[in-house]
Amino acid sequence: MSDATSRFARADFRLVVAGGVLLLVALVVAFVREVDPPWSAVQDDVRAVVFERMGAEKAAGVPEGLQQIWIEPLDRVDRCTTCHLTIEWSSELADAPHPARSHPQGLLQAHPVQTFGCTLCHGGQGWATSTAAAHGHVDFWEEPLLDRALAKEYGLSRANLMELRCAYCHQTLEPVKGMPLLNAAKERVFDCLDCHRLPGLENEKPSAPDLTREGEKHPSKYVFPPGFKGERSALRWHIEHLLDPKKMSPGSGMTKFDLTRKDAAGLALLVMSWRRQGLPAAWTPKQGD
Amino acid sequence: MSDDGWSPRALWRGFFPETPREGADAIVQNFLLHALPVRITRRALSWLASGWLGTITLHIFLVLCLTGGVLLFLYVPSIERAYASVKDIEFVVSFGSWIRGTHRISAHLMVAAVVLHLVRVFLTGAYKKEGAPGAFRPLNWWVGIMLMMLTFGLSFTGYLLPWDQLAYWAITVGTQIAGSVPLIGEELRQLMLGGDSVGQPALLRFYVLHCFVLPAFMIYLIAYHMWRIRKDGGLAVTDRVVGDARETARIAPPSPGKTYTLMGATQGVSAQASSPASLLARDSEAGGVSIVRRTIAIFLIVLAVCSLLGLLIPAQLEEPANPAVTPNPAKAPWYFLWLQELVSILTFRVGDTLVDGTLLGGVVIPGILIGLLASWPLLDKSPAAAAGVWFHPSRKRQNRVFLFLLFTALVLTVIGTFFRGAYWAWVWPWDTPHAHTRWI
Repeated sequence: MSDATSRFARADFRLVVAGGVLLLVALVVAFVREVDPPWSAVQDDVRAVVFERMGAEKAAGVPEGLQQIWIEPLDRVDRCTTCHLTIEWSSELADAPHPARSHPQGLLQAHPVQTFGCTLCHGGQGWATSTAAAHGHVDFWEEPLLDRALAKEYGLSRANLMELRCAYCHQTLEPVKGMPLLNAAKERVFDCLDCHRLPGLENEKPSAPDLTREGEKHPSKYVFPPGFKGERSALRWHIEHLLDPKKMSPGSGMTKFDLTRKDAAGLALLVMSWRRQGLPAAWTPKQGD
Repeated sequence: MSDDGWSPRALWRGFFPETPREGADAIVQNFLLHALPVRITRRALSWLASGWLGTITLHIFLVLCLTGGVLLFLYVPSIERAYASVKDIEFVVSFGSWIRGTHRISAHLMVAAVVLHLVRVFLTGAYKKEGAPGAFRPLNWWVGIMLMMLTFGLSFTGYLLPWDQLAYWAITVGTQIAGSVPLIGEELRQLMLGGDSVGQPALLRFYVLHCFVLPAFMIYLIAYHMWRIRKDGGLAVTDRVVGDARETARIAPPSPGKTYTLMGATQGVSAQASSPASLLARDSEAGGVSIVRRTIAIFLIVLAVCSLLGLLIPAQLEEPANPAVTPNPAKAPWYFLWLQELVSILTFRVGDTLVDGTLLGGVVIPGILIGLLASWPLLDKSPAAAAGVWFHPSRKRQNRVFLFLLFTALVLTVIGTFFRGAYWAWVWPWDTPHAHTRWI
């Protein structure tokens, strides 16, 4: 082998080694990520809480690995129970720290976790397996978890805010048990019928926009006045619009009603629940439910 | 062989030569034994001549085949399932996020590598028609242009598959530009989409093109592209090595012999050879082993770099495709953004008339550029000595024009990517983007 030949051979051999080492690094990083996903440490924490409160035998019964609830008729999957492993457990965990806390029993009687999953009522991204993505506080996810911080932005309790998602299925103008804010709004909403067409209520000569599917209107379609302060959301637009129609849409002929901010929030949530239900027949709530 | 003429060997059609002549023929005709040259010149083997950009591109394509082959088992090409299947790849499939990230970043890198490869071939004049007898390099230049268009086609069809907002609107914008072709534009657009707008037929068409049709053409043309290099006598720089060797031979003609004395005791004559062939042999290496070694190095480096980038830069997935909600601005894939930028520059208002730049910027200008690129080997009048030489003085002017056009496209791409906001208005990259309006 001449000098020049061995020069090329040596240089290429160094490249082969460098490529091999880099590839090994990539494989090791990928493998470590795969065997130690972020939820695995969370599962250890949950097991520790159960061990502390309920003993070793119960702790051994905490499931391991990725968990999911598949709601076949709705084509949804919720992987929340990967971290919220003990969500259906007894009241001994009712005041445990999240995610070991168990769900209050009341509503679960009518909405079993294994049938309804979690995100149908709570929002969030059921597909996801990391906390930020699952709670939906990430880019490109439009239905965040309806948590206390979010409810506080509108001066509401979390339960009040979640009534919106109750109403996605319970689409009736009759009062429904457990939905105080929206039930109050439903009493008021008949005043709107003077001008608007509402779902299930005919209006022969509507003089204002049809609200039958107002809840399907995408947030990007809402026009905010120049200089609008604060976070922009469809809900906020409706609340501000109900409180002062001309402020949000100049030239609007809508009456300025005498509403408290909470009244307006209830009406806004009711309006936003008006969208196509898209439920299989077996899932449609009975009249009066 | 049994009496009825059937033999178990029919199942396994191996080749068993029965005469020395057949054996020799088999070796002469075997493609694999001739895929690589016996000798390769050191100048062709060095990194300076070509950057080995074609080989790098080929190996990025291999990485894309590997990762794409895995994704084929996981992705569902239906508008109901596509988005969910990509979410599952991201969140629950073992190594899924890594494989998808690597596939995406490799696709971007392949576009970049193909363009760099083209730039190298242009600046070294390696497409020139003057060459050794039997060589015709323009043919490989044309095959190369087809491979570049196939690369764009593969990237463009892959763009739609995740069925998110980015995919849906990039393909909507891209096919609208195709729709501005005179006379057949609308038919062309409908042929691509299988309908009036991007929907299930478009998704299925793009899927079949992306996973089967275009890769098949790609593999066939790549094989032909590489075989043509052998047919053309290696890289263009080899012609220069041969030319230089001839030159050396002319300047220093081999002396018939040199007299010498050994300690004054003996006298004699030695033979001195400096024929082009022997000079070439001295400046070259065994082809097979050098090229295989280099190829293994490039394969490992490319695979490692793509894998690492796939880990570091995960692929995004935006909201599910929503025909009712147009993002503002809706942007084509990045390598077409210079065209979208051209369209926007050429679209303006004179009084009440709107001048639509879609045809000019989206079809006419790129069409002229591709036509120029394709006809360039026939228009280039520089001497044969300019082939295989970086920035040859005789090609100064054409190199300048080429680099100017390239630079312009690059600047427009950067502007379109980083400096365009809502309504295609100018924004600075460091400006906080207008926050999306949330539902709640």
